[in-house]
Amino acid sequence: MDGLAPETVSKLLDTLISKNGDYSDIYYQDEDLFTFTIENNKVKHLKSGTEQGINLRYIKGDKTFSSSSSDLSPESLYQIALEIPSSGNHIEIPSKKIYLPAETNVYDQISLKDREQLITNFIASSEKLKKRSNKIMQVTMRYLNSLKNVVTFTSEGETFADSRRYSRYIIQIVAKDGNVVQTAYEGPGVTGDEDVLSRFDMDEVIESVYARSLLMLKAEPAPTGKMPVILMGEAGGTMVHEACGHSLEADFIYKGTSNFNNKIGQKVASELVTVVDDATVPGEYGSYSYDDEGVAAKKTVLIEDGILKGYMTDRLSAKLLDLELTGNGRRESFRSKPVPRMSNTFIEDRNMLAEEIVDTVQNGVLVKKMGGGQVNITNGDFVFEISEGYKIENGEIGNPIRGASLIGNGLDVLNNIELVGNDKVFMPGICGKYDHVPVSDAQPTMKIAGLTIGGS
Amino acid sequence: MDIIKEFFKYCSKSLDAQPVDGWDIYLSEDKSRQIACREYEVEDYKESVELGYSIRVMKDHKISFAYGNDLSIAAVTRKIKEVVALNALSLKDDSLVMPQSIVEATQSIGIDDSYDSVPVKEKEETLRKLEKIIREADNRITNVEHLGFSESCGTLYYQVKGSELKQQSSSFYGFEGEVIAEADGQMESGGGFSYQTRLAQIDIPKLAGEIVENTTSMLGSSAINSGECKVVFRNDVSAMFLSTFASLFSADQVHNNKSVLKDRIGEQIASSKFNLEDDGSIEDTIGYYLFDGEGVSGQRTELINDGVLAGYLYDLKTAKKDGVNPTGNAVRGSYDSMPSIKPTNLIVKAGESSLDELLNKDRVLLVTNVMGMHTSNTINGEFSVGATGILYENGKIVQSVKQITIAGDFLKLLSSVEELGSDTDNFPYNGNIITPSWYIESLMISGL
Repeated sequence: MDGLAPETVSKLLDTLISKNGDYSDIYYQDEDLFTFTIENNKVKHLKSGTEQGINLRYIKGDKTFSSSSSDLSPESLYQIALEIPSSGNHIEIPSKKIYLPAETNVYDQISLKDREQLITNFIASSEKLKKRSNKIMQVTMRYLNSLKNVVTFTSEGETFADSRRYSRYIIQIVAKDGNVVQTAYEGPGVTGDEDVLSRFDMDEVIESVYARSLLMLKAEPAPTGKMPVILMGEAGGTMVHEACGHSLEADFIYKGTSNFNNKIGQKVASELVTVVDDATVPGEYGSYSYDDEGVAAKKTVLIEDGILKGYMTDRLSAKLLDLELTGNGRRESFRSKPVPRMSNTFIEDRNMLAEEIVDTVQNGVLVKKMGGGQVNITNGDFVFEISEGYKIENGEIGNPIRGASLIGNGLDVLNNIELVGNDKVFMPGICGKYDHVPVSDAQPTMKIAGLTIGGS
Repeated sequence: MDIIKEFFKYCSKSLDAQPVDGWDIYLSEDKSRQIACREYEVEDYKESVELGYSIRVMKDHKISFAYGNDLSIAAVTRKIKEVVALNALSLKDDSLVMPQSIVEATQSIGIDDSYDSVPVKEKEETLRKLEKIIREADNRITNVEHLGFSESCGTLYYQVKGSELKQQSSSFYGFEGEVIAEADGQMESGGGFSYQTRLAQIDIPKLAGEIVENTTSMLGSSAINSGECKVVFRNDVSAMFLSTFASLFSADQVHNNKSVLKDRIGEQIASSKFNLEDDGSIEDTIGYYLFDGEGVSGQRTELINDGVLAGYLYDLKTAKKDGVNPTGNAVRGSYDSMPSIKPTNLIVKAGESSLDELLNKDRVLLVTNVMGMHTSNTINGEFSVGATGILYENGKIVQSVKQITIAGDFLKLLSSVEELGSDTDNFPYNGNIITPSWYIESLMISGL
């Protein structure tokens, strides 16, 4: 970043401090994005862009006052700082603090030559895939490389910087047979030094999406009603993120709107369940070194052997609830304030093998791939779609099912987890609580005693 | 603003000097303010100013795109170099079209300047009034989780090669609330909102009533038995469905085999009572466009006429391909997005019956909310979503309902719309949806 001179930072923070808050900070963020989509073997949505901006805020009690701007000129920043309403008498304490310049720009954006090579490779893969079956109506492949620098300057005189690289690709196939149309999708993503294409071989990913798209064409309407459900490890942790994780974010706890309120130390889940949020897992999509308000990332045990242990905090909620800082204060960009958000959230592995768990179910549903979902934080009710699922009949894995969704309640499910395997797999995603932040989630293969399946 | 005029002057001159066949420059300037209140005090106050631009260039039947928000000459020079270099990597397609001009028209109605003319204190006072009405309406409301006010004013600037710089302005005001109700050990959350182009259009007591009703009505709710059921989608639920499946009408989706409406113009795809149009020409609506993201005027486009598919939504490229006129639906979500086909004001023609009349059946479920709508298949129209609602028998409430899913197919749904309500309202989803409630003869419900 070449934006903010140390004297500008001091002057802005002095202005914020004069508004009689408890804590103030300045957040600088920039992004350099390169992304393209290949649709029907052609490059589409080739997009390249840069943006930068500043967010100024101060906190007073449980209240936040902030202003953001894409204009980094010192005069304009000083003007918007002055316009933020005050919370009491004007106080004049010259900070005399010296802010260290931040170390950023660890990563370089892909060169023009490499961009060309990537596009050529993607088109070749798309052409090859499209030719494999006349049932494939549409192949969409997307690539994204985003470089982000974030810097937090606090009223305590500290400077924290984090340089992040997100790389991801997505393969989506639309297959059609007669009147049946099915969509299959896979989207691996990583952060840090390693490139997504070296960690997740594109041919292997394509193979799995291809197989699923054809398989789902043969799917039958799902059975409906309440039944045992097996969530495979490869299904990812959408369920733990949505149906459990959000309710453990401390802003909901402070507001008293979470169903985990006042339950620390209590049994909230089956004793087989340990839930962890850990932004320090190397290379996962939800990883970072410092969060978006300058708190070091860490591993936080949320539920241990079924007992509620903690919540995920940002600076504001940690102070209000007198909790530890967990480094979960995240935001999409300079446009918003940080709130407690998940990073990499997962249910810990236990000892059973997936096959052993599957063998225990006579009749039910096996979920191999989860789709999107939604949860009501207050009462924990959720709904998730099943992207790849199978009937289990008389102990045998039967036909694939389509158009099915899982509906239930987060606390119910946590208490109804009967068996837990040892095969968790992290899946990247984008969480849209207030704005969009990259996350990942994981769970091992699990058996849930009873869950409602909604079908079409 | 001089800085913007200067930017366009510099940028257009530099682009004219490049070896390209065409270009356009799009810039948006916005200011916005959000105020959230809790227990009669401001809990969160936020202002923002934002200015960003994007440039597209066309050369040898290729269009490239780059965006930025640094207006310094050095940054703009780099951006122009970048967008020209990217052109070599872009798709060569003879059907690509770059706008040659921007429609000659001006806004006749000025935007609401309440952003500046109404003091912030007064807006905070309105939030307190909203909270007071909500809290006093029903003692089962135990927590006001979030009450928010938001406002924004913006101006779009657009220039294409060979044209003058054109601009259009818009304003947006909204109040929203989310509250918790408790009774007999059950806790439910619910909410409501009203977003309009003018601050004075927002009816605070009406909004408070909706928030209270949406929340308290869910107390005592439980699942009902699975099976086929007569259903009424309340207007906000109809709007959610339309917004989710609006992309079926996009000519781009149709050309890419991503819509079940492909090759079905002239076919009966909905009940003969169902009429749908898109109209971006209505000034002072959230979906109004003087010109779209390619300089085409906002206009009225028939989509479903008495149940018959009448047309699609077009941008320049897809219109050229089908040999029709563009419909003014090339929408840019923000300066960093390329134009893509989106609805403007998507309007369902209202019927004669009030909501009460729609509900006056032997047994009918009023659907008041759906969860997981975004998991729907927007290509084939299949959906399976969680729902909450209220069960009526002969016009009387029997029970409130939750933990059910409703599933089906969007086109089958449109074909089963037997009656439309007269209770039209507007919802700012995916542009702006203007629709009444729909009575649907039969829908599959999964519950107990």
